[in-house]
Amino acid sequence: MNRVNPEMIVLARDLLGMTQADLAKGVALNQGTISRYESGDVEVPDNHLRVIAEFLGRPESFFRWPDQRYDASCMYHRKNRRLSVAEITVIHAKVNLLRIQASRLLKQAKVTSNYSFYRLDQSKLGGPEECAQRLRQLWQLPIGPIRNVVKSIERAGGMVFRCPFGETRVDGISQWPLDAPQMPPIFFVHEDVPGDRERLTLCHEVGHVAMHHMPTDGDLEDEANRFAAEFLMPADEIADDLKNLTLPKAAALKSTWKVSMQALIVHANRLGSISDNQYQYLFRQLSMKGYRTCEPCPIPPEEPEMFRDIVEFHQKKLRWGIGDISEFLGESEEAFREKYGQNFSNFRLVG
Amino acid sequence: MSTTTFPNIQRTLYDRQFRPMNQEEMLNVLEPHLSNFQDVLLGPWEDFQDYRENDKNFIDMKEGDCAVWLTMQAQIRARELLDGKPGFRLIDLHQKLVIVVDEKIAVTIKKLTMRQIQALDRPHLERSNYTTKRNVKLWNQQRDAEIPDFPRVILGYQLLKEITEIHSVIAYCRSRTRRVEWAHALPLVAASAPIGFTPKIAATSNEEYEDKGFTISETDAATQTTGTERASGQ
Repeated sequence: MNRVNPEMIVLARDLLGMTQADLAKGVALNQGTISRYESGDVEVPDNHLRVIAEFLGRPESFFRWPDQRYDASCMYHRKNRRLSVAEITVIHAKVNLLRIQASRLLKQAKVTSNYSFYRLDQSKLGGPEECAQRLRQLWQLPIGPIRNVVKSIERAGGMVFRCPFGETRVDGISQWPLDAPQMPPIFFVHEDVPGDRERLTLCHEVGHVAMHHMPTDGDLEDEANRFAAEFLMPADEIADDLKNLTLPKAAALKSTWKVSMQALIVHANRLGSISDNQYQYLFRQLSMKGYRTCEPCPIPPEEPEMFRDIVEFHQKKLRWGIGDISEFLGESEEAFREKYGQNFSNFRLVG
Repeated sequence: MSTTTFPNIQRTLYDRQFRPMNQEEMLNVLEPHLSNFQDVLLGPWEDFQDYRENDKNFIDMKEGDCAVWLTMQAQIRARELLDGKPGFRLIDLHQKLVIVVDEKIAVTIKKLTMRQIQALDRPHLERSNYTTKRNVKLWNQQRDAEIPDFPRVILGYQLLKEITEIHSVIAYCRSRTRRVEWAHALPLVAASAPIGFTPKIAATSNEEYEDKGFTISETDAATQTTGTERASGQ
């Protein structure tokens, strides 16, 4: 039997938003002992592992998984306010768990996609806009709006999860660890964001994954935003439409390009189709009409399919029972059923 | 000695103007036909949304232009749906369609706008006609040889949220201003009536024929991993 992986104790604890002291109190051990277990200095005895596993709600086998966590340096966030360390720790734990679960499932299931993800060199191509154009070419995306961003990512072998980030306003996170070449890039988007924001967030994260594998001089978030804007709304194709932009026109373009009115206004200003004054006027109008928080013409969210299909593959092709799959993913059966639905017919990832 | 007789002013006024009608009275006549009126508006509205999503000429249209298009299409649709139907008589008057319902009420299709002139005013619906003499007479419910001799009511619609939503009403005017006296909201239901021929934009999506772009197959490990090995975590 494998030895206990201290990383997994940290992960299980982080998932519940607990401190070492909380865990120690819950399992009637010293905080120092928990600290030593988590640092790997001391082997965890079986009886202690049992109570820790029970307290953290994971099967014992979960703590023997050989996987490792990736910290914030491997992740890119699209968020709209500063997060506390406690909030970001829970989010990272959720993201790490989903990535590990996906990688475990991919040991049995090989995903062959029509296209691929690439690590692009901004300095050679010229900038984020050129990278976006290049990726559109490589993915053979037709001229005009991208019909379904999630589908395009999955066609290129990326995996998308819609998961709850709670009250925190993290819109998206991506991971493509350099030391795990067999793993596809993974994207996490907040399950509550509307379709237009989901698409922009995903493209922003695709920008990070494609461009930011090597250090750059620029502002990473700004570069990812420029990548996303060009990827969703190529300047050559949209520039004419953005002239004389008004709110009704932005609303009409929103349903065509499936991006928010705000994104259209920002893009129009960046491309020089509207002046700074027009830009400010339009944003004042948006605020006045309450569109900054709730825009008209909602775009429905796009649902990912790959992870669901992989789980279904295990169930149908490999004939694994729900008990097998849930234990394999380090979940209790009840938790698994609660998260993934009774029989997968209504499958939706929620945790 | 000559006597001066004064005309009965009140009577004369009512001779020249239809008496006021309240919502209940008007709806008693229109109630059985409201679903037809809803179809008259929602059919063209659905077409309009399709065009606005796909046709560049429609993207640039301002609210007034949209209303011209929608009103025209709604009139065409009304002819398709209501011409020859019992209870309806269609009249073309000054290039406008007038729908006479049960020989009691004349219905005209119009765009209405919610306005609030001053901050303390209550928002109210308004027509956007020019105040020509004929228009004033028509919407002040005055009788005249040039206009239908029935009380007039508006089958109106408001374009909301940057022309992404529509709100349809039956509205009644009886003043010399553009203001609507009362308005009854029509329920939002999908257009149900069959249409003759409406050219539709070709569907651009062929999603149902599309494959997912990835396939899932077994790895070598899958055949080797069985039973308890799965759970043990390797």
